[in-house]
Amino acid sequence: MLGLLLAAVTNAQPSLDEAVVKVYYTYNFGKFVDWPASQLAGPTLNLCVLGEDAFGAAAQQALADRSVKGLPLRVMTYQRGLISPDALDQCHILYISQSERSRIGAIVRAVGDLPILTVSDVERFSRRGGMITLVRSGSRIRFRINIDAVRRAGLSVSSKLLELAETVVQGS
Amino acid sequence: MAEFFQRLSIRGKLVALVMVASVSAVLLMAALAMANEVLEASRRAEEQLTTLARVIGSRSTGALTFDDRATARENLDALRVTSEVVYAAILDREGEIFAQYGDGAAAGNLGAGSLLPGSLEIRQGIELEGERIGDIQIVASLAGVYARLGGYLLLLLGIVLACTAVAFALGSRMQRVVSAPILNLRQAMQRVSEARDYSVRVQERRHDELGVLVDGFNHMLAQIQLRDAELARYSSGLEQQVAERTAELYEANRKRLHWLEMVARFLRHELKNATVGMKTSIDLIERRSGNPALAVYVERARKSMLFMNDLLDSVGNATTLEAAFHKEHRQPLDLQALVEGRLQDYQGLYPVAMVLDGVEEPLWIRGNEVRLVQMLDKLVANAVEHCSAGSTVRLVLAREGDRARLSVIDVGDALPEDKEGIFELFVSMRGANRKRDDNYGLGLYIVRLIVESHGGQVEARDLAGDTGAEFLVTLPLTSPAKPKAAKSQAEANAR
Repeated sequence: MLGLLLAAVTNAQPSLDEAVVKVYYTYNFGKFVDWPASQLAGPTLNLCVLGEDAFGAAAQQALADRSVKGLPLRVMTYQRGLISPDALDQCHILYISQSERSRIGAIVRAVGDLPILTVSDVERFSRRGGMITLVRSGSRIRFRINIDAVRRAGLSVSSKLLELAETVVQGS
Repeated sequence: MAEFFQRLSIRGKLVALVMVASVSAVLLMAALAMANEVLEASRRAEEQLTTLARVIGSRSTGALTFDDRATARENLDALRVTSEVVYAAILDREGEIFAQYGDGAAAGNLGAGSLLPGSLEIRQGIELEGERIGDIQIVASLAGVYARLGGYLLLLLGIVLACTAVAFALGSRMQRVVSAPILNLRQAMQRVSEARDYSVRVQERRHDELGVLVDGFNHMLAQIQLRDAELARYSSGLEQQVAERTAELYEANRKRLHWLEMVARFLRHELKNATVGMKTSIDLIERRSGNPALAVYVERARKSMLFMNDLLDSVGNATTLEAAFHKEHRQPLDLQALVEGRLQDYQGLYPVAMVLDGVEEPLWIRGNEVRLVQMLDKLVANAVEHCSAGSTVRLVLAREGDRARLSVIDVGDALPEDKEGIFELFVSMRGANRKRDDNYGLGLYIVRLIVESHGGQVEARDLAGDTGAEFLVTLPLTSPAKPKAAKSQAEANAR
């Protein structure tokens, strides 16, 4: 299915299909990342989507009734720039849309060392303190990982994910 | 097979039993071990492949999830370390090949043309967080497994051969426990039956059935030995008894003969002397009296005295005869030749026709020739005396079993009622028309004495359909080839 989706997005500009692939990638990252046990006590695993683009809608649609780490996945969307520290505490995964490109630094700082897996397709995201950057490479979507940011947040990433990463960034 | 087994010796049978039992046990064990090894080997191979599949599948969850075929292929390349794996593939959620390793066509050809499966195929689901995201398939060649099983089979065969050798060695040694006493028993039995030696005992101390058999055999021998000893004692006792009786009889006979000799001597000397006195007295009476009237009486007295003298002579001879017979020498002689030779003399002597009938072969008997001739003379004289004028006296010789038979037959005077009495002393009873006066009834008595001293019998019979008599003498035959045995018998008789 992924293959078919990928084939469909081959020459496309950012579109719904590419957004769907990114949604699945983000969802699957959750399976290769471990949170501290205290973070997984809650009734749901929350995917917070910050900003507005196709991702939010695609996630709501594609990830209904999915689960990660045995917890039902809940998709929570927030308007651009609007996410309170309380809301941030609820997030396990934070996806930052293209619309927030200009506020990346502030958002990363706001997240700080909270155990939140940050994912974005904004260029140089992982060089600016983000954890995983989704990159378009020809017809495929690849990703880069900032391993130091991941560790600082108290998360651990499976070596399987690391060996698939296009690059692994050390230090920020 | 069963016939062959029947023909085996006890030893062979025991070894065969041990061999059959142990070899079949070892073979069964080997078969079970082999079966177990085959199951175990395939289980191990499957387990190994499953583990490999699980590891590689698990390693490939990321590659599958994030569509990284290169990494999936790299993961599959790890299978290079196990040479058995000829083909492997990772399939995606839809069953499409995502990545593969090795040659699928070669894997399909494995085991072609063989009864045994040439390959083992494992297909394992790849799961991520309980969700099946794909499959991994591994095909391995079983050639290595078969090679190892072949090696194991050779090892088992070696073990079976070794066990067979050990079973044979032990069986050959241990069968003696059973076969040795049996062979021992057989040997003893052979010795007993060949040498008739019942003192043989089987030395075997056992407490099983064979021990009972051996004890029984020994007991049986002991009983036979005991019975033999009793029999020997009994028969020696019997011999002694016979010897005693014989000695007693011999002693009685010797006393009787002695008495006879005494009587004979008395008759010859004392009575004779008395008659001499009487004769002298009668002579003197005749010479001195001169009275012719007395001459008649004197003559009568002399005649009576002479008659008495003759009588004394005869009786003296007869009694001397019987005593003498037992001391006379005997030898094998041919009765036929004897009778034939004497017949010519008779034909010259008597005016009576005489023939010899019957067998013309030698009839060997043991006896004293002079006495036998005397016997024949008396019988022939008796026949001539009683035959009617013009009749023929017949002598018939015959062989009857182990005895010779001589018949003297005349047609003439009838025999008296008492056929045995005529053989007694002083009995002459065919005397209705006596021709001679000097017959004192001694002839047939002497015949009987001679015949009986030769171990034979004599009897008188009436002639069938004619008046006359047949005197039948039977004498035991002997073999001229065995003069020694006959001689010892003669010595026994002479005692």
